[in-house]
Amino acid sequence: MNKNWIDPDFLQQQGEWFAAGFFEKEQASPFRRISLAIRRQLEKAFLPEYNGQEIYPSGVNTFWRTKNNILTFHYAYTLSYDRNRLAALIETATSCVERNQWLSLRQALDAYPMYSHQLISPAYTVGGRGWTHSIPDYGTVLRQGLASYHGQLKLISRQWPDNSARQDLTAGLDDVLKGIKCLHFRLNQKLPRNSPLARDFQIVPWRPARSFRQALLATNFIFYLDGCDSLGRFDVELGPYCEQDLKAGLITEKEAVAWVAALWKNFDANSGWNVALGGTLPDQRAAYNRLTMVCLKAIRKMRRPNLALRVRKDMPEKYFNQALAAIASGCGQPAFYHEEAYLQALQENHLNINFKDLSHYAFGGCTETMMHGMSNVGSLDGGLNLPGIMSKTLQRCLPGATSFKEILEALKQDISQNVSHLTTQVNHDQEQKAKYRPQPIRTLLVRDCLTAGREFNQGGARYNWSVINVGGLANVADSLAALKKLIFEEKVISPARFHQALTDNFQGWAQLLKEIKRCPRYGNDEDQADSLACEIASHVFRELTRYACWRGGRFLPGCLMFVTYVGAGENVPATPDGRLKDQPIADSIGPYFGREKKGPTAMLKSVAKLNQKMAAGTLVLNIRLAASFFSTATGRQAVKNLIRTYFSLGGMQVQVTVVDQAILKEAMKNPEKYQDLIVRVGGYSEYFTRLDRALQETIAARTEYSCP
Amino acid sequence: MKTKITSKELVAPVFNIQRFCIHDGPGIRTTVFLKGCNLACYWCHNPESRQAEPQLMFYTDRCLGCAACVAVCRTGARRKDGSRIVFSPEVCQSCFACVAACPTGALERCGQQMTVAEVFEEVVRDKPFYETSGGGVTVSGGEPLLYPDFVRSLFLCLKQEKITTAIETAGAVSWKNIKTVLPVTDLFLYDLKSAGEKLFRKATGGQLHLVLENLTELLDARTRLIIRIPVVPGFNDSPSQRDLMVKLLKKLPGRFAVEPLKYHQMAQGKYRALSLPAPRQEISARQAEAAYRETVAAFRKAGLPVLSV
Repeated sequence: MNKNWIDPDFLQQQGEWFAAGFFEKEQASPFRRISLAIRRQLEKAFLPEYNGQEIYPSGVNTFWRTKNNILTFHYAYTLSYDRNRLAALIETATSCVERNQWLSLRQALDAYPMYSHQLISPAYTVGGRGWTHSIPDYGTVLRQGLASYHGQLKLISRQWPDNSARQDLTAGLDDVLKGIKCLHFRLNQKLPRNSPLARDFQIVPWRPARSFRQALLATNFIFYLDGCDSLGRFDVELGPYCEQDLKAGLITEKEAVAWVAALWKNFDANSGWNVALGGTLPDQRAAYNRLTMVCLKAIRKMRRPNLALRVRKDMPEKYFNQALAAIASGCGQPAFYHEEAYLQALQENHLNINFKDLSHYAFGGCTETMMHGMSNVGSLDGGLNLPGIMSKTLQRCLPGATSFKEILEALKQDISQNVSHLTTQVNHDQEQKAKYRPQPIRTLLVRDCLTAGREFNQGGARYNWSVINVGGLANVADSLAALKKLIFEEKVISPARFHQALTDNFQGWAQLLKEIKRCPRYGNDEDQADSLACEIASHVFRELTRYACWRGGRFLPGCLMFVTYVGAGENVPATPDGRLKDQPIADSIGPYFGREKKGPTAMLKSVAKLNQKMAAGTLVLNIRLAASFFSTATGRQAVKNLIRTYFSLGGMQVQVTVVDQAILKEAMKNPEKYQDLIVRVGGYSEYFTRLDRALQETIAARTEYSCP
Repeated sequence: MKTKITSKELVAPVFNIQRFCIHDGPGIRTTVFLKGCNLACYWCHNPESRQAEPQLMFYTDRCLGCAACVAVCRTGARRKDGSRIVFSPEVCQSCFACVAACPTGALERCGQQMTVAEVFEEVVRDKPFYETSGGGVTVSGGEPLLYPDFVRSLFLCLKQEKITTAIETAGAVSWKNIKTVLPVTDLFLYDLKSAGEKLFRKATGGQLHLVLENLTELLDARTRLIIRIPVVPGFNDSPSQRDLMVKLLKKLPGRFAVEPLKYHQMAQGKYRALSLPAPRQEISARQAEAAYRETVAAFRKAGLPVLSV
């Protein structure tokens, strides 16, 4: 017997079903192998128990788990290989045969190009590394049923009998469908017989959905099958079902809210991602329906999904009010998106979006822009750490700098160079991914892959682009403003000494830090700093859009740091804006923490000065408001007007956080960081950190009551 | 030819320009606080606004005791006493050298002479927000009508930009001052602190009849007007005082809205920072809330057009 032969039966016995399928036809193409792996996995997958939930399956997704999780399926990377666990199995193997099997498995897996995303160097991974969020086209499944895919596959296979790539594709997808069928059958066994839920679940997703619950069950099933990612335009896809049932009196709104909340709970259990609401229909009408309202009601106090409310000019006020009520519940959901600006930006960015599809933009992951059910968008393929790039530039050219322009030009040049490196690496990763890590499930469920006869990672989806994160803009703007003012305008310090201060991490440079503090800062509606931010931002955005992706489409800039800004600051040396070594970089596109001192209107104006339409990958803006803003009609109206005005100024996205008591406490400990925190005191609004201690304590105590 | 100061060069002492105010008139507003007041209400929540001259504010809880201010003080107003820094306002000559020296911002300068042009440049920035929200600019104080020409000139500039204007005043000024700003003011937020002449004088040092005469004139002139009544427990919240107020409001001619304001103790820190004795009375938040609610209810019952949060 060949020493390196891997026995699929052995892997089956060991509960490594995915790996078993993967090694069943070792000579076949990666697509066939992975398809077969999926089939074997779904035939045996662990299933969640049914405990009377509104929808099934529910809870943590176990479909892709195996006994030891040696080789599993992952929606972004396709293959996930736990080498350490395998090493442990080799150690503890009880027999020689077993040990040999594990050893040869390791050898085979080590030889397989599993992790091409590691081709992207760590310097370019702010926010992501070869990740691919996606939105499955569950609308077609709802309307036509999965069974219709069988026919489609047969048709394609018959149409191109000599095209081996297409034969491969259809044969692989046939395996996947068989796997899904088996999984569906097994799930049905778990449900109590003849219960309404079981009856509905027997129909979908194989046949078209006819009621809201059926549609919801089908959507939920697809969500689990796809690996719990994003669902895009949920209210547009399911709205007609919901409205029809509500109208017919088959369900009440309360029931609908409970069911949708159950789906949101599934998102939460699996850290699922994004759902977009409202916006525009393909015929240009407003897309808000009763399900939009149900979704907003169901999101109260929920962490996930990231709800994205697309705000059109003519959006009825009640949706805005409900959205604010949800935010007031403390979940910070939904985020607001400027519909008109997105439609325009997507048209202008040379993404070649068919006008009929344009309204179907939605978001995957945090908030990476993609087309609902028809795109393969690198999100996030990579990121640029602007402060990191800047500190290298300064290292080189600050000591001998003779003019500010010299520094600015050097920085721009470095940015261009980094963009070029980053895009090359991302493209290399995309190429490798297409070769070795095809994605059968998304090939099946994302539009055009089948009809084009092209695998998903090969560029089979209708739209392909790559969202690149641009991090730390505020730090760069503030740094440049400080250098300009202190070195070249006021001449209070020489370039060489400033460089020394940076090298010393500002230790022993207290006076300089103080001087830096009075320099113009991005986020205060001061043009000296804002114009620098605009200049740098436009430069980065323009550079990124110059390059094309391997899969097709363009690179689309965005700025969505969420929680990654803390880690992104590690290993970045001190920057001239007074940020010390290893401190976090700026949070998304907003100003650096505590540097905006003129309130939200000034901050929004600053950010709106950027040419946001060049960065349709989404520039995320966080705004923190105290809970008390949401307790009165006047306060809520003011929040609405803040958002509407930001949009009218060209802003594209904003998310409101209600400040809770814990943050107030933290603000008392570190007032420096919370200079922008606004609380309502008495009859007016005041900056929290400017209040005296005793008062802060009373407010912290009071907020606890207003935000249960 | 005589050189004349153009209206944009008029100056007034400003102690704060606050953007995103939502409680001083409709919409999102920017409020300009002018320094200097001719009343001395004992519950005043802007004690830094009373005196027109710039003042030093000293927030002791931010003080590190580093004595950087002592080193630069020429008059000895700032001294080191053990580990603490003490301040003698009577010796201070308001040079504000200490403010620049302070590393933590425990010392702040309050009040600055600003020209109309300077103030205008700052307040016009939020114009887009005024437009969406129906907001505008409010001038408050202190008593802004002590600077009628300044206010008029500022409002004229704003009118050219189609920005709406409001004045928050206690009304204890001569009618001439009000007349100056009347044509350019869209809304008056008119304080009425009590309905009894004696009580008014005792609590504020001003004359109620002047306030009422001006109020009647304004209402006769059909100005948009909101009467704002600070509900101060122990001062004007007793049933008899409330009845008196209701009677007075009922008698007023013309159209107006009434907005009772809840008392709050947010100013304690500022009194401390100014080395002023804080209002002697201890009023709890619950007391203030109760007094406010009762007043709102009483006014509603009497059929007055009440605005409340």
